Amino acid sequence: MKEFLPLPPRHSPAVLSFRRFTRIVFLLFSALGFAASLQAQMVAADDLAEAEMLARKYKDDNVVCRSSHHLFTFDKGKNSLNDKVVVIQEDAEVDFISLKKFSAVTYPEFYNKFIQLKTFKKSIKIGTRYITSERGGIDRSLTDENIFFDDSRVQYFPIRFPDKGNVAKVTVKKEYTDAKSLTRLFFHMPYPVLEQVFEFKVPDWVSIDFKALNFDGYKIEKVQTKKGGYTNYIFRMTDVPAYSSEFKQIGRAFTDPHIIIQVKSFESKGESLQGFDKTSDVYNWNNRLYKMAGNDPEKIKATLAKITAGATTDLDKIKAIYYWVQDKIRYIAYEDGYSGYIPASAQDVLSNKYGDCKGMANLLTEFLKLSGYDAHFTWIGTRSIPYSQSMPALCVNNHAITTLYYKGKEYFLDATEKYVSFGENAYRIQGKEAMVSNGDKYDIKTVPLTTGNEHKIFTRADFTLNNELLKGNIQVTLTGNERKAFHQVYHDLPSSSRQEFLNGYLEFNNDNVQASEVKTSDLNNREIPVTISGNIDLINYVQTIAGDKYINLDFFPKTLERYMPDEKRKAGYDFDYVLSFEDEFSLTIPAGNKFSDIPEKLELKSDGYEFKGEYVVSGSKITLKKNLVLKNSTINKKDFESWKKFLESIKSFSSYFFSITTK
Amino acid sequence: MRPGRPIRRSKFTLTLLLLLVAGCSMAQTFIDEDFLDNLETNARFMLTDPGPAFTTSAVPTKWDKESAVIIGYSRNILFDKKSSGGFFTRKERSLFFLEKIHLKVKLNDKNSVDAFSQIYFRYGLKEDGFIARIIKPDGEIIPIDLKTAVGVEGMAIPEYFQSFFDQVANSEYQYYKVPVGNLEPGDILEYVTTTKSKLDVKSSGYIEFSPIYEVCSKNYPVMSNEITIETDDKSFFKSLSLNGAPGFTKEGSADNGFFRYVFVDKNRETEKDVNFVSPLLQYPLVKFQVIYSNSDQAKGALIGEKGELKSEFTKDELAKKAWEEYESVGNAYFNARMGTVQAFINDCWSELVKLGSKSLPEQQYIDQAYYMVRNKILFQRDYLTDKTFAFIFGSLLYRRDIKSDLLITTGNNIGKMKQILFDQEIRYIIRVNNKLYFNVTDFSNPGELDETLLDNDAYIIAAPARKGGQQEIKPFTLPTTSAADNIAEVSINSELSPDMKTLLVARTSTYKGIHKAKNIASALKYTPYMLDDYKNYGGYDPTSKMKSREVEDYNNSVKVLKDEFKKEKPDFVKGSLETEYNAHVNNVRFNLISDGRTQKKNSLSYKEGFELSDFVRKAGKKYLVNLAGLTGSQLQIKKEERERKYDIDVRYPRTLTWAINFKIPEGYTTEGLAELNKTVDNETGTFSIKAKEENGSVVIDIQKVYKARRITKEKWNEMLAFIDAAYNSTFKYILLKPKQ
Repeated sequence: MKEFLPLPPRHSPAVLSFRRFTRIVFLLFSALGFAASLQAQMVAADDLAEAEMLARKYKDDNVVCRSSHHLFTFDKGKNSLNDKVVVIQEDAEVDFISLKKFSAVTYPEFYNKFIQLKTFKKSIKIGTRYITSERGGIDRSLTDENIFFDDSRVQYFPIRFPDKGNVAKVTVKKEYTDAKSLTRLFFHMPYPVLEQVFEFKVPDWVSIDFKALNFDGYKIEKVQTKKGGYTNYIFRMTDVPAYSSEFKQIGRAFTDPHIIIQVKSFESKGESLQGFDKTSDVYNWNNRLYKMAGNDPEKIKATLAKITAGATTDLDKIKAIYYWVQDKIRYIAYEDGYSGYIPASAQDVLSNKYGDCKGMANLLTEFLKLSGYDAHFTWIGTRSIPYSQSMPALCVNNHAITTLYYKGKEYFLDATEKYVSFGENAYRIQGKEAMVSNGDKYDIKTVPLTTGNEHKIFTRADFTLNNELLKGNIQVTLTGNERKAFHQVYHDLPSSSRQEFLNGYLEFNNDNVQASEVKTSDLNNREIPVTISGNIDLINYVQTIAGDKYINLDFFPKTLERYMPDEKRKAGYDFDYVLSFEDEFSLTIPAGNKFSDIPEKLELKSDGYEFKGEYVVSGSKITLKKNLVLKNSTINKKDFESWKKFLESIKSFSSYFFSITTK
Repeated sequence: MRPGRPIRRSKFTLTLLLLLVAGCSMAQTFIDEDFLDNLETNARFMLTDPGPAFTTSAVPTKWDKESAVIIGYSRNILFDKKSSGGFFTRKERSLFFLEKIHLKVKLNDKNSVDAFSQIYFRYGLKEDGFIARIIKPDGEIIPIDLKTAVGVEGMAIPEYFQSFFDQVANSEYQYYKVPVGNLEPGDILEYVTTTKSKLDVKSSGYIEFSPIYEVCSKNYPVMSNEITIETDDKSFFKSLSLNGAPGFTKEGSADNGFFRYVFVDKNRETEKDVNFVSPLLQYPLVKFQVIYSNSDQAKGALIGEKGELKSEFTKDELAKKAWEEYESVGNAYFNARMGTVQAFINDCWSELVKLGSKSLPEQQYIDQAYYMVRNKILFQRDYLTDKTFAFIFGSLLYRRDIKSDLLITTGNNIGKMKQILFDQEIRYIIRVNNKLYFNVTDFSNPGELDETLLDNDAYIIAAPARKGGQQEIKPFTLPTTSAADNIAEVSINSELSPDMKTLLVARTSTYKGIHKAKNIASALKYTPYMLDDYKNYGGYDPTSKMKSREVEDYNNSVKVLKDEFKKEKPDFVKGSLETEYNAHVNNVRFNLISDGRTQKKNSLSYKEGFELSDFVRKAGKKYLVNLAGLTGSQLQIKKEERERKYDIDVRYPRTLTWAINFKIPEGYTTEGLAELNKTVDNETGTFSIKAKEENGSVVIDIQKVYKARRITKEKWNEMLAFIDAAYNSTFKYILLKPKQ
């Protein structure tokens, strides 16, 4: 049924489009009226004094966590595969104090089928006593919009503090039904933490290791004591500043201190059982679940024959299969319990024509193997994960692809990447180690890393001056990931919008550029560079002043202003791509005129990025040549000053006008 | 995060959670397989006996390039026949409705395939049914397996899958989503669903279903769109087609005592999203509503006779309904503290008496009462409806024996009085001494106009002389406004920074009339205007009755509020300016001059200071400065919109002026001022820009006027002339040349 239109506005002042007031105003209004005294909590004098003291230190924060203590204890159990496993129980107590009136904090606990949330309580301190709320946390699914179905959930408490010095406490009891599920712990939280403690009371029957990552530069105390059949490991960090997420920031795991927990082995009834001690242990676990997919090659044979019909060479066959899976299998993911790890069978993915990365990798591997090629199911971590495969933990890999050995070369085939050509790899897996299955053994292979020059947007435009109009033709050529990204956007568009999109592409989101007669290369061929060409008019680009003309020819500046860090920026940038821009814009002017005020050449070079721009005059023609290369996908905070200067210089260069005067 | 799970996004970042908490989430469960057979069995009849629109799979070639084409879309809603005549047996106190939906859509490209890659259905009662299938180009039919369906909650169900009765039914039901496998461009997706909804009528024998505005055009072209409403003799149906849409027709029903109303729209193109269109006034649409009544309560409803297809109400009917609604406001709920609206009025009156308002001159009392209501509403989460406001305000006037009139009208974005079909479309205004008083906002002053209630017909209505008697109804025309009434005046002083890289701007903006109402919420955001608002009606300081500890608490609260506002305001203003100028803005300052919330100072006026670096360009040793661009981004009409299909509605006429003063830097002369000058003036509007040099400064006066609210499409080119001139002028630079 057609979506109901909004009812005629009974009363529609513009303010109704917002919440009328901020939360704090509402609280004030409550205070103005009637309920304030009911809501206010009695604040203990020492809490108030502490809040006063902390407020001076944490000027920008409303709430501080005074202590966050997590105790992990170990037990024996069985997982749903009937394996003997180590079960871990977490008992946590987290204590908050408000530094301002009307402050609030949200405390979440995440869980799923492998992590059970047994107890979750909130207590508010009234005077010197804690009163525990009868109400449980608010429960929500955490299913991402890209996932069709999964079991990830959260419970959370919104905790509101009417007054400065109010105190609240959260008590948590969680059970990791298999120690593999407890992978890593971060110290930073979205609020400042005065003391963050992770304590592990490890029985002698468990052999455990803790990998400390990014501890350098942080004061983190590690204490190990042994008593009565247990070893206690305590990690304590004090004065942990608040963590906040920023636009395109480098992933936390690259910068923030955290611990990876590794249960290497354990004893059960005299038997020594293997945990994750070596990479091979992770492989064995992964491979075991992979083999549970239950592939039946017979059921995919007929389709395979159709896909490869007409392909005469091996390369043609491989491409036909790879592109078919890219094009025909849609990404729809069910990830519930072990189905988050066990790939859907090849025949199911084929019959449904949908699957997640594991399912697509499984089908692609089976197709290739069935065609006689040396293909292998492969686990890999994307670039958002910093860990090497030498780290025996489940958090190393978050993706699945197919590795093909063909004519002495490795090819990493990712069927979730639509419109990628054979031999090219998505940037998100480049430079990463892949765990390639090979029966009972595995290989670790590295996906080659490319530079910005292989992913280029080359723009060439030639204009003539036509009174106050710059008329010309333009051609944009895209290679590498830029070509792939274009295909992905273009083919996802409604067919009725595609022509408008192509025109818009040549107009560069610039309202003063008008494109027409747009033509493209064969957009059904993902292997050739994408070219888009057409005629363009630039309006409002010529300033005629006192008979002279002033022109800024840089109609497509790449100022990268979104990546200009301001004084508040805390983390470095991760663009998630490398690329280069090459521009060549020329203008031919009528005879009898000449160019003046030509901007000076600019050349900037740094480890991660470089720029070269110059205007070249040849008779009645001026050409702007620019080349910008982002060689690294990240900008670290220590490089900010140099990066800012780089961006400012480019911006300044792009802003220059030259003039045209009569000879 | 589940470690090692391919393609799972990291979930451990708490920020994501906060987003989730703020937005929607989906609690999910697998489908219970026990009822899968029911679904198939219950819906099967709809496929075996489809309506004529669904027997074809051919699509007109004119739509080959569309992403998808709706071949048939049919919604059939009827009362449960088994319940007819027996709704109110002792055991059953519920009303049942049956709803059948049939959709058949040809998917031409990947975009539409993706859009339908998961489909939704509702299941609540054992009678509910759902079947979906794919029809391949060669005619092969592939049923969609529902075993993989999962339940969803808390997310909006997409169009084409929503039940008409979700809002009203008390039935226990759950929506499920199911992935559609093997769907490719060129396929047809077809689904049928039948659902039964239950409505508890224990406490009321009168139910108004949500009014529906069915705009004929959808996001895809439609070959056939059919809505059938079948009601029994306890229900009423009303509908009105507008702007060339087909209407509902009454047809004979197979069952005695039932009435059948059918709407059929065919061959409907999509609509482009364009400027200056009021959809309800211009797009073909049909509005309709079903009202159920099992009791005398229907007598007061805005309905026709049973079985009548009512599409218009007389002024007598409207006035009667409006008056009855108005009279009932006093007993309506107001808030938890006050209880009813009448109690709130009593409380206000009591406070007014204490304030000595009984002895105030009449006009002063009227204003005081208005400001008092505004102050009270300021501290409520939601605004009043204008009916409630009219009742409260009218009652407070009545207490002082001040005669007022009640006016009814409808929103000028809805239509005229004769197009009122639903109660909710009636709007209320109070008139005293020939002055109109519209509903209060946080910012309104007595007598200030409401954009949606101008230039429309209205009635002045009164209570009937006796119960059931004739009401006096006088026609009235609501005032209109002119471009001279709705004003934005911007005065700008600017100069270059010493390094000649940045334009330093000090700007004073003043708004009047409806243009003030449009801008005031944003201007006053993060300003503590509400704290002293009690002074506007002579009320008591909120601390005057507080104990010392409460005063301290209140003052602390005010400080926290002011601190927060002080912190937030610059960022908010910076964001607004960056949107306005489409450029980076630095060093932002904001000072409120007049909040425009009093009658004495009813203009909104504030000062901003900021710096723009993108407005200064270098050309050798010369500089180009984009002073005309200080108007901010101006509307551009793109080429796809330059052919006009509909008449133009700019909502309200207005005048915008900018007086720009730029201090010429020492050692420089200016050129290019004459080149800026331009004037376009025609029946639809004006744009003029005049530049001159005066006392070492460049002085630029700019004016943009939208002269009338409504303009015929034939005048579009005239409008384009001044809109284009304004847009192009924002890219004009002046030149600064060194003297030596």
